[in-house]
Amino acid sequence: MALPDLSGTTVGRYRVVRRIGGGVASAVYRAVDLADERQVALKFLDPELASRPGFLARCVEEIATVSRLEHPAIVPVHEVATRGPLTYVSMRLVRGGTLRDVLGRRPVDVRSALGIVREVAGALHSAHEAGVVHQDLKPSNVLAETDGSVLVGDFGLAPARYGYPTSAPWYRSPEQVTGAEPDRRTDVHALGQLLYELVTGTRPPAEGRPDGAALPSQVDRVLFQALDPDPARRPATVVQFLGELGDVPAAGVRGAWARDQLPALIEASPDAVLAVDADGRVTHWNRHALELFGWPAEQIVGSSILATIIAPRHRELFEGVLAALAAGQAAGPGRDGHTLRVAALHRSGREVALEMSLSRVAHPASAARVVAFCREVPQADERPAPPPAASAAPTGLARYRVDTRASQLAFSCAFMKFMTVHGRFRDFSGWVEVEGRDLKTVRAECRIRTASVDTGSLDRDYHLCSPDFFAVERYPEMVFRSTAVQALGDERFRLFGELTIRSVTRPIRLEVRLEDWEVDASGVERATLTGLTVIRRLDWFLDWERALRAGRWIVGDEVKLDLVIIVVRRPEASAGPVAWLPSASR
Amino acid sequence: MSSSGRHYEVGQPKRFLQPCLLLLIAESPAHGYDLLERLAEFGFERDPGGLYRALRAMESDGLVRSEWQISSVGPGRRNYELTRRGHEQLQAWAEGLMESRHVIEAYIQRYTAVEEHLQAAEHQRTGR
Repeated sequence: MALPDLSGTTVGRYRVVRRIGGGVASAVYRAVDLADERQVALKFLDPELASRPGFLARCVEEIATVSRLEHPAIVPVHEVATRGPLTYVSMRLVRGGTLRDVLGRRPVDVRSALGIVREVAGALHSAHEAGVVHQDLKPSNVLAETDGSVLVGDFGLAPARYGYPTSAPWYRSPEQVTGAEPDRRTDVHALGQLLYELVTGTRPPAEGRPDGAALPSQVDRVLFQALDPDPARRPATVVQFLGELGDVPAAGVRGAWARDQLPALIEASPDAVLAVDADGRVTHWNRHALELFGWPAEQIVGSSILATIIAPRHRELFEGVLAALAAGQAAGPGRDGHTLRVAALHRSGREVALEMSLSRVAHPASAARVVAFCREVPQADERPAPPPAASAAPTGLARYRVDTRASQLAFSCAFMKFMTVHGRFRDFSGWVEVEGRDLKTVRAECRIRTASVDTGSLDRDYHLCSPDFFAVERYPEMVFRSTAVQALGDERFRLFGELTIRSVTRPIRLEVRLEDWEVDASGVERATLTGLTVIRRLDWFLDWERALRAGRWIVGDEVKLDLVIIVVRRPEASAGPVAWLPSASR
Repeated sequence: MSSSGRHYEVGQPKRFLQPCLLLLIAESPAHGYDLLERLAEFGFERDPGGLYRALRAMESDGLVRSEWQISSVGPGRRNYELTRRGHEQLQAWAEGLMESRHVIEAYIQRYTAVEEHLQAAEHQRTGR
């Protein structure tokens, strides 16, 4: 795909760490959300695919629909965003890797395979009931957690339906190949393929009856039906598919399957992972761990993690947590659950600051008791400080709070082509930061309660809040975050940022100017800024499509934003009286 | 609030903010905080957001112009003064209000007469 390597770059609110997967149409990276340091998976879509007519709108619609289900076996999506030529989907980082990576071509026993298929079918059924057909189910789109639970990802992204070449054409159903409209039965076919591949380790033959000789006859018969080239002869729904399997025993996904596959799960994980026994000796590792610590595999296996990796000053702490976990106790207070910050030693002697997530496991074939997911973090004294409060601001950096009562977030847009609707949001909060009163350093964030929309008509506001537009229950806030600023003089600047509405993030540009910037006798500093811009609501896919087919022309696309932001900063308790010299600020 | 406890909407007519701002700025060029204080003389509630939006719209329409000035109480403030067009608009508003004044005075005279008549009738009925 036509995307450069993005490792090490910052895209929107994310620091991209390294590539962990992908195919023809996308590349998946591990990334860190700079807002809260949460690790996420970022899937960058090929710009050529993202720009195909209808792709993005349908993709966002389907992802939003599936996200609303909050199904435990569907990968949670945080946002879909575009930034310049990049279109990406931010989602939960699932730590075990894809089913394809974990299993390779190794078959699993029928009970475990049925356990996995039941989980996947549950996710598909929920999506089907909400009107979404996956259309691209395959082992690389099913992700596994290290406890063996599985999650289906990539809803709304099937590239083949936009005529885009797919990396695994053999997973397409006969009706997809011929261009017929896919439906639930397309996913039933894919589910059959998945089951077949899980129990045999091979793909079903392109033609002829799949050979499931070693399978229980009931499973063999259902597979044969699900893989029928004619959709009309397949089970009509995934529920029917499961019903046909009847009472063939299935294993819980968190049971034997996970334990048997522990080494593969560790190997496939995008994190640096080590497993240790009750005494802290390394039993399993993956290549990311070897890279992180610089040890060759033969020297790390069997060695004590305490003696080789953990820095001396943290060995006692680590040993205590390890013993508690191995004994089945929860980690103690003050340790952030099972996550520890410890110093480790690279083989070269260099110290590495680590964030370790520790989980207890039971692996029948080895003595592994605890799995450690390791992530390098900046050294304690290099860690970026969280945004400071006004009272703790370093010299020159000042944070101002938005005065919600005095400020106004107003908007207007055309209505019925000859009228204008005026409205405003009444509930919002935010801050503005500036260093040394230099406008080039302005940063800002504003969170707006979508339910506070007020256009002077209760009926209209009710509709605006409904799932058809702002969907306030699901998306209670829209968020603006600045990303860059261009000073245009002493009192004007252009603020670039991102506006997220209903999980869709788009760039936005505000023309801002200062009205007043004063300090009163008690030292309270107050500034007034006005900002203007025009956005197009369809860029955020706000189009009233379901309830109001004609919404596209009844309500204009262009929305004019007219903002008055008044910000306040109270003096620090320790500061003396404010003495202001006009020349000092110039 | 009336004596019956019912609430009636009274106050400035809509769009009265603009003629008041034109007048205040004609009296003396001013910045936003200053205008906010002086608007109270016309019965306006304190609404900084509404004021700054109105000023920006008036500048966009060419009725006022603004200049950023160094301030003795902070980094600066934007000072507004009337343009020729703004002055013409002020005159138009004032003429319109003067014309309205005759209508308003006639309204008040007739209302006063009605009140006096009603009170006299009430006195007669109760004998007090």
